Amino acid sequence: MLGNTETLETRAIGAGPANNDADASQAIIGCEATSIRSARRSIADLPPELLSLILTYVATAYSDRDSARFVRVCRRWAAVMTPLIWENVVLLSPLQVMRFLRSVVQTVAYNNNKPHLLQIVSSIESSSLTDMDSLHKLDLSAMATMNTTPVAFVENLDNHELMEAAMNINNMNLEIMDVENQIAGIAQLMHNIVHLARTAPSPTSTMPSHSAAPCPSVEVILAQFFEPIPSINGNDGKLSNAQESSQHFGAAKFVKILTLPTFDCKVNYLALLNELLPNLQSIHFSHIQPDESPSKPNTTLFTPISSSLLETFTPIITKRLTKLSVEDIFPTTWPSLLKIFSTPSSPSSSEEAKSPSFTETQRYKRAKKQTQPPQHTLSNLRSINLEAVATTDSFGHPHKLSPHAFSVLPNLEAARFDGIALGSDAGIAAMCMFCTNLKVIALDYCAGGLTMASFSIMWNELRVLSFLGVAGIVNDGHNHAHMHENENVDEDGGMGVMVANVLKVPAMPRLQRHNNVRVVRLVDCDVTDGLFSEIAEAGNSLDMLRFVFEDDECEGILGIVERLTDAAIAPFAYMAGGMRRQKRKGLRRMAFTWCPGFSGDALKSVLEAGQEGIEVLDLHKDVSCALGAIPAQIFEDYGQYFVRIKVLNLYGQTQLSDITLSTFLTSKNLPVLESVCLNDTQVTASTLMSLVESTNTLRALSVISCSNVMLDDLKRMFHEIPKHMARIRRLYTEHCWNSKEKEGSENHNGMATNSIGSVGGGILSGIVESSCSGSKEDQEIIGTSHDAAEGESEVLNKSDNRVQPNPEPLCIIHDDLWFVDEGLDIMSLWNESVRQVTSIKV
Amino acid sequence: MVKITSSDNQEFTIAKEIANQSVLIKNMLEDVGEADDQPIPLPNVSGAILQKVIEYATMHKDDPPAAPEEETRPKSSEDIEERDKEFMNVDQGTLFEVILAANYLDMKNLLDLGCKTVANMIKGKSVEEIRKTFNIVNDFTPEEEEQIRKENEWCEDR
Repeated sequence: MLGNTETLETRAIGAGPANNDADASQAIIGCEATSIRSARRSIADLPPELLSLILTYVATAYSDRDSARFVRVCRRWAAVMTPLIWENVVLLSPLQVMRFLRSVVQTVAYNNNKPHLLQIVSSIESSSLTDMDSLHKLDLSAMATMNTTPVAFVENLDNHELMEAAMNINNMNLEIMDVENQIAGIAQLMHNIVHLARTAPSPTSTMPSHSAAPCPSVEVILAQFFEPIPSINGNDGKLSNAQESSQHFGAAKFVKILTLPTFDCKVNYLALLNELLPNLQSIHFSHIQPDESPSKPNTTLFTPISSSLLETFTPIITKRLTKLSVEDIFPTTWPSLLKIFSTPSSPSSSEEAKSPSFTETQRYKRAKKQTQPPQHTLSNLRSINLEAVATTDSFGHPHKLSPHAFSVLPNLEAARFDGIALGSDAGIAAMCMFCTNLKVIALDYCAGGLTMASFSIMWNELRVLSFLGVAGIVNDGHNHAHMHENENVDEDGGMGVMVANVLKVPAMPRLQRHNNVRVVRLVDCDVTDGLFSEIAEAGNSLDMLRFVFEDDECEGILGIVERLTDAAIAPFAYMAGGMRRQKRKGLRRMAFTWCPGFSGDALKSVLEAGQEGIEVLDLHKDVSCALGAIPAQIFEDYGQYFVRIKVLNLYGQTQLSDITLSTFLTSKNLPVLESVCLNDTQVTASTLMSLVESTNTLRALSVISCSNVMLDDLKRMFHEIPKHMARIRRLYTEHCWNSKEKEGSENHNGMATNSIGSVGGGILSGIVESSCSGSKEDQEIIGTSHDAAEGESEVLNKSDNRVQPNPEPLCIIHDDLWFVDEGLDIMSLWNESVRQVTSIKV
Repeated sequence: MVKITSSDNQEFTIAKEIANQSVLIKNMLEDVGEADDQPIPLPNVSGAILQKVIEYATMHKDDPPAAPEEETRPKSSEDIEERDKEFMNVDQGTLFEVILAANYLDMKNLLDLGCKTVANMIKGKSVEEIRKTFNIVNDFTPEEEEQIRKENEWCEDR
């Protein structure tokens, strides 16, 4: 065995022996290092996969900008780091888009030894980039005052000639700014803006806008310069000899996921990305949240997805993409999107199909014929997420998403539609017929007259379905959007109706046994006791049930909440028990809005059922919503039945006194509690201290907006019970410990929070970028803003060389992310299911 | 009890639940059966490092298995327990030996701990500081360095 004092040997180029200077020793957790044996090994001895694992940890914690510098350490690090940086490209501004395209051209040129390709770089750089400041903005605070001054809203929009023109149109139709229908007024105004914008000079995504000499088109560029590169697209749209071909694309070959802003950035030759990213599998057209500033609080960009942007990327969408996410869909850009899903088949005989003389047999044959795979399909597309502009959760457009659209998506496994016009229940039936591989589906606030029959249709017809989520469906003949509209169920030429006939879909089919549905999520839906009984009975594999009500201004919702009784939740006691006889796993997670008809006994029956029972219980209520308040007596009388709960959410239960909470939040009632959210409650530091001290399983604690818990209270907890507080791995609070603060930011609940900025030389030893904002996981589909920051600290007692308990938080998160981190928010649930049950790997 | 021998022929006798934290050893035990009391040779790990690995496995023998959902969460190098920080309070040579041993023995938690520790050593450092810390030689030609800079300009200039 080698001795402790053996000297280091010189290493090969690219890495040397460990440097034992003070810098290095400090890096190892700050104290004097102990050596077991000779330090013969160095970082150069690690195989690439281990170096990659190390750098993944670094890249996850850092922004792209910070992690990009590691590429420059040495060749070996460059080889490992480049794929990590390029795999998931997030571009948030026109400048970033331009620079990315320029880098792509440069890496392709370099790896083909064709420096003349760089000739187009100057044209790319001369792009007349969209000025983000000129994009239309919507002041939400102005919307709130629209009842009295609707003009204030208009005046708060940025001064822009298109806006003025739109206002002129609106002024001619003053009635559309009717205070009784604000959303409609805003939607109409936006419609006018977009219409005018579309008639403006053509965008420049595919062609250079201005230069001294005429510039060739993308096609000419490709033919002229890239001919030597083997085509990445064969006739079938798949990579031809992909691995060999990819070698020509340099770092660009690593790009799998690309996020772009929804507005047209006006970057010359952007369409080249269709050809120069050979392994791109996912595009996310993302709504951009502008930086908040004190002078413009609550200001959001209004950026309907650019039609030219969609058209620019149509080739790659239709040929190769596995995953497509489009935010900011608006009526005026809707047709461009529909074109992507269009098929050569023509519903020209739809009139014939609707004719009384058209027999049932003929209709059946017609439907069957039309269910045959069309000539042109988007067979690679396995996941789509379509979201309407955020300010309009519903919009009227004569064109619904036709069943024909689904006929070109034979391999679709995950779909989410938010605020999208989907047509009627018959259209959903058509979707089920064409997309039989659907495993994850969410229909949120979709206009077009959906009823809860759609829920049953999807449950019964999609036999591999694992996640079923619907929101905003009330069976009053309309969906739960504020803009009720005339349905146009024949938009598809009657095809949806025909499919419904073929499937023999009754008005509200009874749920059939289902072995795959794991998660059911219902938000503001027309649910009944009977429906929940059916779900409990038919859902053999149900793991998570979430039914919440958030719209206390909708009479329909209020009526539903009033009607629900214990019969809605009691059936799940049987499920939570594991149903051993039927070999069911049983319900493990439950999230619901407490309704007046619920009793403690029903809750008790669910909580104490079986050997394992419910582990995750979410009983939150929105602070601004009148629904969901739980009587204090429930916690006082039934606290003892929470003994199996590991994750508990009481956010917004403002009516519970601290006395009630202190009585309930004990290790006796919650002996295995690991994570708890007490945001917006009356909890005090004393109660928190008692909970943390007595519950040694507790790892996460969220106390944002707790008026009785101030910074000094938290500090006191760390000083008085440091060992117990050291167990808390995630502490969520708006209070900033002792560092410079960033500008206040807006979280997804609209609450201003602070994030720790840079920390140097203070008690906090370092700053780690958000575990969420920089993570690759969250780049999939992001429905909430992530802006957390962590800090870590440690106090070292060098005299005994041991790390002592620290009177500071191990990890503090200054944003309302408890929901996200526990995977309980809408998007986390959706993304989790996509990851777990689909074959989508990007 | 399970016997294992290191590359320098040191023999260790350890409890089975400790040995089983190594997927490699666990699989070998399953292959050879319970009755075979021959020591399991581990030619890629020295005695000193094996001692260290056993120390870690003993320290974590009562840990519950990681929940499946934790696998999918974003990785953070900050999430290190105090006792593990102390355990990893070693010189660089030993640190990399432990990482290699964890990789060879297929001990995911120890491997993650080692990689997180190195990641924390990298964070916050400039390129030059990283080279100095790990004694890495810059082997780029000036042309290559310029090309690398250009290729990654898009993410550096935000």
